[in-house]
Amino acid sequence: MTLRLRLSLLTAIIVLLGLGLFGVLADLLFMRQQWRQLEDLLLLDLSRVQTLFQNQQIGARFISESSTDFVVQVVSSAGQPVLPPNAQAVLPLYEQPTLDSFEGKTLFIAAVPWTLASGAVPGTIRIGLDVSKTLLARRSLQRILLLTGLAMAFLTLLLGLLFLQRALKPLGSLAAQAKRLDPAKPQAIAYQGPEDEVAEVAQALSNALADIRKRQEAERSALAEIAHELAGPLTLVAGHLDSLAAQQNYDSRLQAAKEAARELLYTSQDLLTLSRGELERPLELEIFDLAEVVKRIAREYPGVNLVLSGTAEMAGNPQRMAQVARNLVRNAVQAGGSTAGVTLHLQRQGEQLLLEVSDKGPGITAEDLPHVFERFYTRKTKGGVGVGLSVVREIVRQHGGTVTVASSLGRGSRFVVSLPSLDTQLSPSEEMT
Amino acid sequence: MSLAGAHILVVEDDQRLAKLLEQELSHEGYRVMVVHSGTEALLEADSAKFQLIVLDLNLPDMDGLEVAERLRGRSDSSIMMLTARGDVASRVTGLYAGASDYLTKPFSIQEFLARVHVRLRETVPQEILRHGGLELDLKASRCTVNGKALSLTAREFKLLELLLGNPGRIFSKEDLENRLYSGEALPSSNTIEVFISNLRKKLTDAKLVGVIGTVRGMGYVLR
Repeated sequence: MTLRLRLSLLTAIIVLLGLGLFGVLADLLFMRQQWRQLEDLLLLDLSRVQTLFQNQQIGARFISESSTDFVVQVVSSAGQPVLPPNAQAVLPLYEQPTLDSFEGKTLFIAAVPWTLASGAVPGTIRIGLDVSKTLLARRSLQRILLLTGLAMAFLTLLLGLLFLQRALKPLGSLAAQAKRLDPAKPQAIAYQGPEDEVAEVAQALSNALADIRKRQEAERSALAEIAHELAGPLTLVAGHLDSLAAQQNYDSRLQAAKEAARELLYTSQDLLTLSRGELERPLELEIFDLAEVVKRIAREYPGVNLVLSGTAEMAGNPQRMAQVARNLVRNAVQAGGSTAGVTLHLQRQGEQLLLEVSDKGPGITAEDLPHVFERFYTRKTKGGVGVGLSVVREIVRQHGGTVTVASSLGRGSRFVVSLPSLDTQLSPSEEMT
Repeated sequence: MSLAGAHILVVEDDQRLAKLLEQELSHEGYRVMVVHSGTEALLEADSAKFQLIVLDLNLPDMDGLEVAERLRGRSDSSIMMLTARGDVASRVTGLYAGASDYLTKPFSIQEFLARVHVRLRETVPQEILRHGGLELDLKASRCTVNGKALSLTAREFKLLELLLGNPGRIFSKEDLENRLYSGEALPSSNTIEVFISNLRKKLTDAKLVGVIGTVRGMGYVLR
């Protein structure tokens, strides 16, 4: 249930309760007033009739002619009706005015002793006042109160929904913005609305985001600083090992050291790529043959099985695509422990260039699989720290392509990079877009 | 001119890296001279002719960009910048496109040597650029199509020079704005489109089709 509906309903219920209480009180007061009047009327009537009877001024005729909403009976002490003589039923005996039903009607009944001039008391005089009309009035009052109450509550609900929609708009926009937040790049929150608690939340959120951004910035530059510090010495180490290994290519220790230094060099290149924010900047683009790039990378990793089918021209940045191919191959080699079982396959499929890198390593667990391209994601199972593959994804995205991964435990993984081929990007017309 | 034996000046204040580069370049058969500051670099560039100057952007006495700027004024050597900062690198190529390159640290020696090789091959001074029937005489600033003269504006000539001088390279709209209008306020947002369209028409009228290709969403390229 939305906050808006909840608040509106709450208001409506409060209104309903308030009106209910008011209704009950009004009903009580109304009835008390009415009863008192009726009681007075009844008692007055009784004393009048009693007096008239004492003075022998009225008799059977009066009583027979009494109107329908006013029943007068004279009843003997034995409980037999005296007047009117043909009475079907006898009014029950109540000394105090009491409500009772009589012949299908609700009557307000009271009695006084029937005193003769001689002083003898042969029975009672009983009077019943028909109160159906009063009860009817009460019922319609109740109905009016109930209907008004319900209508008011409904109106409150509608108005509440209407006004709350406006009042809660800033909150809604805040929620929408918070939902859209990219943890990697938290954007500032834009708040438009009155200075209230929502504004405070927005402000607090903005401050927190600014802090996060600042910290990310700091971490990024620290990372860049570290990578940068490593870059100089690494270039030297890798460079010297390269030339030494070339001179003494029989020494396997030197070869191993050379390869390790190169790996370090590429890792620090990836780190710098990420930390410098280079992936957010536009690339230097050219038309090149991806097959040539892939061939070069395969040469860097002897033992990798290379499958090519013709040229694969595309538009983009060849250095960056080399980074993509290299990172995928490095990842595959790491997964399988060696270049054996790693296949690099480049082919055209319709308008796409497909670069597939597969390994026969242990595979990636279902838990890790959705996250392998995330920056700095550390896999539970064997794997890197989420630098190389996240660089791959960013570069591929910059080139208008996609990268996917499929893996089965114990059998290996397959990464597929899909890129638009040159033909799809060359515009036959002269339009740029 | 053979590439081996080409004369290369290395300007790098990190002596260890300078030594490595010198050793590797000499091993490839180039003639190498190493200096460690901007001032020395300018002096050397005045006294000898280098086909390529490998220039570190982080020099103790002056900014590498400034060195590059001054070098451009007094020699036609090709420049390859070494930088640890990606942002500077892109500015550099913005300034001296076609005649310079950059490499970001860390780099592998293979990559470095490969780039040096490409640079040297591409920057063998060319006076005439050719593509199909199109010929650009850079010295005389003359353009001919199948031997017939084609009159071009200075900007149109510059654009064709860029395209023919960098086959395969894609020039974005912003790129061309910077290079052809060098920071001037452009009359409208589609100035480059109109400009290209007019030039295409001129070439088509001269019976030359498809010199300027469009790569969707990216820019223009020689076809």
